[in-house]
Amino acid sequence: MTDTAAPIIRAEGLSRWYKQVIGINDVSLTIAPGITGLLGPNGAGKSTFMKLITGQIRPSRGRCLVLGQPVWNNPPLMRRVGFCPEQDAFYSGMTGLAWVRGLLTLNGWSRAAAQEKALAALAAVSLLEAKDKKIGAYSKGMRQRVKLAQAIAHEPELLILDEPLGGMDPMGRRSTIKMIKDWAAQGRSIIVSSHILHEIESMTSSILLVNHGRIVAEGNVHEIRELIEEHPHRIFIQCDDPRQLAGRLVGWPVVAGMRLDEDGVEVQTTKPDAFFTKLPDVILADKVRVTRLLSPDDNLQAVFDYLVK
Amino acid sequence: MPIYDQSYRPYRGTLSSHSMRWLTIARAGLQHYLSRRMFLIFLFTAFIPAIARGVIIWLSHQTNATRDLTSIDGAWFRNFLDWQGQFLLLVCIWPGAILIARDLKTNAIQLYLSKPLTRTDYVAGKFAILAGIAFLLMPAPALLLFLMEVGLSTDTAFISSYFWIPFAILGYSLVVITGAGLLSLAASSFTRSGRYAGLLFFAIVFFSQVGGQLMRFITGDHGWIVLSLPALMDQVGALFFGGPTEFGLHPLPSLLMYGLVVGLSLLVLRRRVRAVEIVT
Repeated sequence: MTDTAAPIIRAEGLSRWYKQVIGINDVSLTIAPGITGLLGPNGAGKSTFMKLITGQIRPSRGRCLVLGQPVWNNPPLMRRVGFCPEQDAFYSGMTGLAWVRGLLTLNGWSRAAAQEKALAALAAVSLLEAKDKKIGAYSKGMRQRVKLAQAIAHEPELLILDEPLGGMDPMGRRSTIKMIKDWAAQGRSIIVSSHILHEIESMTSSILLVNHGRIVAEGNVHEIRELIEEHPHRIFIQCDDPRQLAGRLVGWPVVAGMRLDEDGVEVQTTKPDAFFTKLPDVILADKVRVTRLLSPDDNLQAVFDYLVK
Repeated sequence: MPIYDQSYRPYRGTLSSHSMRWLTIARAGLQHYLSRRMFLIFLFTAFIPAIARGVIIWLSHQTNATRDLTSIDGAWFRNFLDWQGQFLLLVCIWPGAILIARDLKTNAIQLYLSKPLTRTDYVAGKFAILAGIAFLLMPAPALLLFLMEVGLSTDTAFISSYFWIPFAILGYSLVVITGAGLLSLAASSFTRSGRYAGLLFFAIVFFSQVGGQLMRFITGDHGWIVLSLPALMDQVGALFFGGPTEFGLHPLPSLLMYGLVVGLSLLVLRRRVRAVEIVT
């Protein structure tokens, strides 16, 4: 991470194993303020990492600082952290309002203040109308939203959201993504895990890729892309004369491969930045009419696929 | 035109102190059970022996003929607490045994532990639910009966002879409730099913009784009876209220055994009360 602000998370040699099974293995990283996406396949260690940074489990080795403080056995720190777990984690016989209010009182709020805050949080996730219904009667999306409500209700500085969009309908996802971005815009930090990559991509370009208990890569999607030079970056240039353009590009040292299509050229390059810098000169010199410039690799799915293989 | 800072500012108001955070769990739990009709029926049933004994006290003060109905002394109160202990056993099975099992089943424990709450706070809160209910069943009615007897007495003979009874009631209740309550919570932390946890608790009590009696029968040594949890409580009761125990044993082995039960329960709770761990 290149951000110079104080990191919200600092892990040093962080490891957690469950007998013979490794959850997180020797992870050292810093996470800067803002929205950070945590990506990885099932069993990669995302949830273990989230439990470690919410102080729920103790590291087997190493240490973890959250907002500059050790997280293990530090309950006061949890007032500044909101956590939305992946699994359902409530009593189905309680109403949404009673549940959120009860958890707020655990944060130290008085009953009256907790009632007010709980209502505000439920309104923020559009659950105000269903506040007096039992959680057991909620749909999957509503249960997801009530979990979000308890995470934001005490107005934490850091939100840790484990698969927060799971089970939500498209409208719910959209409004939740907007809400997450709005929170970040207010200066809060958010760590969000998901395996639905385009949703993460719509929230942030700052990601951590996790696999087999290790951080495979961290940083901006583009930075990560540069790290994997052994997997050339693909760029598709749609133009009126693909053969002419291909003839010019084939001699460039940064071009590793090329495929000619009827309506364009797909170039593979190990130096996308250098390629993009030089490309306009060629286009202008040869008067090739470029109608579209696509980078099929420039999304999280491609990066993810490369790195976790 | 001044433009104010729109960025996030943390709450700087007053929050309750951390040391009382367990009380939130206890209060919510007690409110939950005391609002359930089934539980209220159970509570009323558990008060019937106290009501009956209250009637006995009242009658014993009405006429000379009824005064000799019963002798109200330390043994009388201990007998009442032993009787109420049966209800405590039921409370340890339900709701005691589901208190943690339900949180494990619903994953609620990971939310508890992601709040400003230690595992000790969590266990203390759950224990306080059980202890609060048990207080209503055992020491509270016993103390009321004591006050009733004192109130109806026309002289100070009773209070001067038995002033120690309230202390014995509280001490004995504290010991019994702590031992049974922690054992119940430990059983509850072993499984995600409250039903199985209840069965486990009952099995521990039942088989300890069978095991203790069996070992005593096989070896002919009364000392083995300390393996039996009900007999253990009998020994502890004798410490507070005086009087003979069934087997006339020295109290030290019983106290050691009691300490072992409490210690093991705490150890189990320490190991089992933790965030849900998904291992794939």
